Amino acid sequence: MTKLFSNLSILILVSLMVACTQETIPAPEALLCESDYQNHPNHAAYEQALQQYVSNSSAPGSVIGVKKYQEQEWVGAYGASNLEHQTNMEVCTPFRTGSVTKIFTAVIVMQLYDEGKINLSSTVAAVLPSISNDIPNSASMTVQQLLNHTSGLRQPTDDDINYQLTVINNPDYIGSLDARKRLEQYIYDEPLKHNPGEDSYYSNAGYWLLQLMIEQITGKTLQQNVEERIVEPLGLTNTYLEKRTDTDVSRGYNFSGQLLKDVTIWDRADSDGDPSAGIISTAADLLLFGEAIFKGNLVSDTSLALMKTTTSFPSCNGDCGYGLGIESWDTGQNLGYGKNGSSIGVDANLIFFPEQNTTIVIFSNFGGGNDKSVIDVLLGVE
Amino acid sequence: MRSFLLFLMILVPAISPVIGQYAMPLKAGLLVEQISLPTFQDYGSRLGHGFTLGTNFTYKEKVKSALLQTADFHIIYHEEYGTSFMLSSLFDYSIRPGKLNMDIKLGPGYMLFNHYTSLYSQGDDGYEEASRLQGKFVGLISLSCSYTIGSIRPYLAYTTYFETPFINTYSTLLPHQMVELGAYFTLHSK
Repeated sequence: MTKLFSNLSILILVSLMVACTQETIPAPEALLCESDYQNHPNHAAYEQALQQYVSNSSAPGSVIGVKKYQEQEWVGAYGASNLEHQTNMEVCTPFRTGSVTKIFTAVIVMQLYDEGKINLSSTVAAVLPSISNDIPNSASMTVQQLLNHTSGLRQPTDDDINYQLTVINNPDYIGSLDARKRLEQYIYDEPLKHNPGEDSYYSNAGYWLLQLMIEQITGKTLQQNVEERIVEPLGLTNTYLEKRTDTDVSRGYNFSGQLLKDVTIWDRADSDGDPSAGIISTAADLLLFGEAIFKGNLVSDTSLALMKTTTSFPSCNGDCGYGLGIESWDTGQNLGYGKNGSSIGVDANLIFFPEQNTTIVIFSNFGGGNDKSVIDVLLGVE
Repeated sequence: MRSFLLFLMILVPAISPVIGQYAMPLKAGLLVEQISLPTFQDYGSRLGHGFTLGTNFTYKEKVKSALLQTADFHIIYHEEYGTSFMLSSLFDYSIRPGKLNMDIKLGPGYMLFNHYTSLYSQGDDGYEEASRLQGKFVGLISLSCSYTIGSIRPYLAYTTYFETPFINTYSTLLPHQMVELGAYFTLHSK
């Protein structure tokens, strides 16, 4: 019996040693953010709005950017981007943008539409015949429906507990799946939420299919398309889709009980490299991107009008708010167009307000809900 | 930590009669665990692993059944999630046709969970790094069968349990399932 307890003691000791295994968070490199935002004429008012936004939030840090058309942009940062190393949030700190990525993917599709290389009424079966048998109703599911969330495809991130728990159980596995493998694993042969075009159901999976379409039509990866069609023409300096080890990207946080938990490992697994959620960018880059879209510098006026046209179904009590890759954003006082991206640990927003000719970017490294009333405050600054 | 002490205050009286018994029933087993619903679906082919030590106290015993209370300690290591040090005390209804025992168990537990990722608490100057050990409550349901062979009783158990809190705004509960293989034996005080 003594030997048994001795063996058990060794087992317990080994287990306690293993229990010390912890994530090593590499220290960020020192970001050099050259800017003269403090000389912006509205610096004081915007800075005050940023302070108010952060004080109303549980986020360790935030970045806000504002750009009025043909005027110099303003970007402000507050708090910490990486609590492990107590790294200050900087105006050039990159963020995971979550579903803001859908605008990038949609812009490329609309550019292909402008070039006559794809029709919005083309079906999945016609564009991707090799997988037509794997997607229910692929013969009646159109490119437009994939873009505006009316295809009826599921949303594994929200409605598939198998997917959600796999992100927690094995983030390495989920992170290793590209769009095609995610489709195989979570979409193929799965029943649709509704018949294509008959209702609205938000789905990242539509954008997984759009990536396959873009790559088939252009013969280039989605990442190459993002670089050649958006990043290089606009001169964006820190925007990318591919998976990188980038220690400067803001960490993501959420509450577990009363404690704030670093949840970056799950955000990275779920979104990095993904055509619906994988773009990493800075506020300044997104301001340029947003203004370029809504001023018609990336797509034709016809395409822009189509992108801004939102769907309407009884299930949404009228306006569902989703256009092609973008959504309408009604603050109650102001109407804008853009996209919110929410992940477990990050909240990102890119919104253009036509009446004020103003683009706003809001980043927060807290995924537990953030007050958006700061938008009206920012728009009210003269 | 206060809730952990509260749990001990409940657990210790529950198992204390066992301490005074002449023959103390013990169990030891190895386990595999997965963050998942109770299912055979593949959740990315990753399994946690660990071991269990435990004992039980018999409330009532009949010829072919018994009502017991268990007291188990588990250490479960799950890569990229964390390590659980879990105490549980389940009500156990045991059916005993001959040498075969079949048990259904239900009850609460408490775990000190050592997070793989960092935790922070609000301090005077913003968020500060906190201990990665977090107290969590657990609810467990377990099915097991065992067979008496001489002085030991090998067992196989399947358990599903939920821990809370998890991530407040997404899900306060996180489900796990666990399979244990081990043996019961009796520790004689003399």
